[in-house]
Amino acid sequence: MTPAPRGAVPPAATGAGYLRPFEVEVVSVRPDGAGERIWVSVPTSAGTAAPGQFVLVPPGPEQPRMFSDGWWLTGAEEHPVHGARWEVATPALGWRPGDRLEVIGPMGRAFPVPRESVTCLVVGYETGQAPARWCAAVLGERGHRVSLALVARDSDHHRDLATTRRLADRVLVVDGLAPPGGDPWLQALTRMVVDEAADVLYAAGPTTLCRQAAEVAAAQGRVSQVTMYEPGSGLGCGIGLCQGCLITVTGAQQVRPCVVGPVLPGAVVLTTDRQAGR
Amino acid sequence: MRADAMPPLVTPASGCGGTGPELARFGDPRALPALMLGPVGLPPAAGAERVSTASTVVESTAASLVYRHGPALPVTEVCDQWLPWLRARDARAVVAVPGEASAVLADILGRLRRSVDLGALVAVEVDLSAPQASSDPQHCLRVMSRTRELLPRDVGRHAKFDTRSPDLIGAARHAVAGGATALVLSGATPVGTAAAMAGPAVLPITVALVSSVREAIDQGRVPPVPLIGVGGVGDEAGARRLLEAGASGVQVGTALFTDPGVLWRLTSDLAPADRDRRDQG
Repeated sequence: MTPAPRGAVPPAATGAGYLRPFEVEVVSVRPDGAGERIWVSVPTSAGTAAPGQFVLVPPGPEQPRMFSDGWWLTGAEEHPVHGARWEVATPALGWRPGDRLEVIGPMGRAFPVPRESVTCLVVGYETGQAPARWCAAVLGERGHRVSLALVARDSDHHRDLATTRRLADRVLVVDGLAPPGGDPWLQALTRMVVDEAADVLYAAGPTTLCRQAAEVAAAQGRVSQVTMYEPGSGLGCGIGLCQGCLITVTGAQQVRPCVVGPVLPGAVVLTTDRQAGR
Repeated sequence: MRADAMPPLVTPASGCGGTGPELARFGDPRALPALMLGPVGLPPAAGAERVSTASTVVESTAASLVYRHGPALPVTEVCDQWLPWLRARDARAVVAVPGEASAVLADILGRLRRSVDLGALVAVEVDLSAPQASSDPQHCLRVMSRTRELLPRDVGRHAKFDTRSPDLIGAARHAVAGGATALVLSGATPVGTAAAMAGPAVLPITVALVSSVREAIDQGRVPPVPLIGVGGVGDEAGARRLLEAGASGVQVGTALFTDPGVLWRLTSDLAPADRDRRDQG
């Protein structure tokens, strides 16, 4: 038997089992602070989603762009009658039920949930509040003690705070912290980790914040899981091709957090000196 | 495959193709003529500064992307991880290498040659587009002949140029004299000194480069050699424009960021006509 010539693409080469865009329908819309939250019905073949994962929304022909949009997933459920649905945190785009859009997902590695009962601190910054909230809810359901810290630069950039009280044992709302970086952040994060006596620190948001969260956790001897890729930040393809999110991790290996993450163990994203000192 | 055979019809562009597993989530890599690894470089020295976390992406608009060159993929990673990964899946790749310092180039090519998975390597793409490289035709000749010395003869040797070359035809002629088996012509356009622009906006530039080199080949100013166009190709129409202008292969860059499936579609759409053309050639 001679092998098929290269260049003759069998239909199966891009068919089932491979990532590709599929159409979803918006079934409900809810305002969510600075943005919106939509539930969309998805084919059951799309698989289950977990906190920390995201969807990509490729640009349509009428709106050409160089990168897909990326939105955090904030909920997933499977109903015996209505099928599978995902909840997606989007910017305020004026969605209406019945709208249809194409998405690829669920993408990425989710926040891992500890097996033993522990105390967790979940920090979310602005759009990162969306996955943080879902992460806190899932941790709570599994019997962990959860503190949820929702952080934004000002009160206009928070997501919906009204429903968060139910999600965690303690909720901290922090604003006035400008886009992350610098000592005020380190101090605020350290104080939170110590005050909440957290065994595990989860952080979702800009990579600078998350790297600092990993540093704080390491300095306090705690475990951390942080997002090193921010969907929708406009600087990256989300599928590992553009190098926009490339970072170097322990062992000097380059990784693309949009593929192997977005959630990475904090221990692998520390700066060189701390890695060397370990 | 012989090095003087036609270059792969469709591949990702250098710096846009990931390392293999990323694209393999969207389709079977075996069905593609080749993937692209790189640009590769030597591994950073132990204790060196961590790679900057500044994004390679500077600005993106509807039709163009301004980017800085990202950190090179360490050649050790290519040899230890990605070539074995591709070979285990019966897939193949072009590896993009820098065409600047010949000691670095020799080290990289030596490591590739010693790799047990060399079978997955279709060609190396030597980047001669930097102004200091392309403005000196003798440098192009030296680099390409060094590449020929260091690699098995069945590995293709592609020389890559872009609009920065002050004498593209002269540089191309010397690269072919030095042993280039194909010329890669990139429409990516410099933005300042450290960045470049790519995307659908640069397709006319790529077409013009391919036409001008094809014309020079027809006039005997450059020895006959297949051309590969890269820059602005995102669909079949764009690819056909380049093939009609005289290219034998295309590379897809920024279009992959929103639609990696385009590689498989282009491969199946262009392959029939291409097979006829290659049979005639």
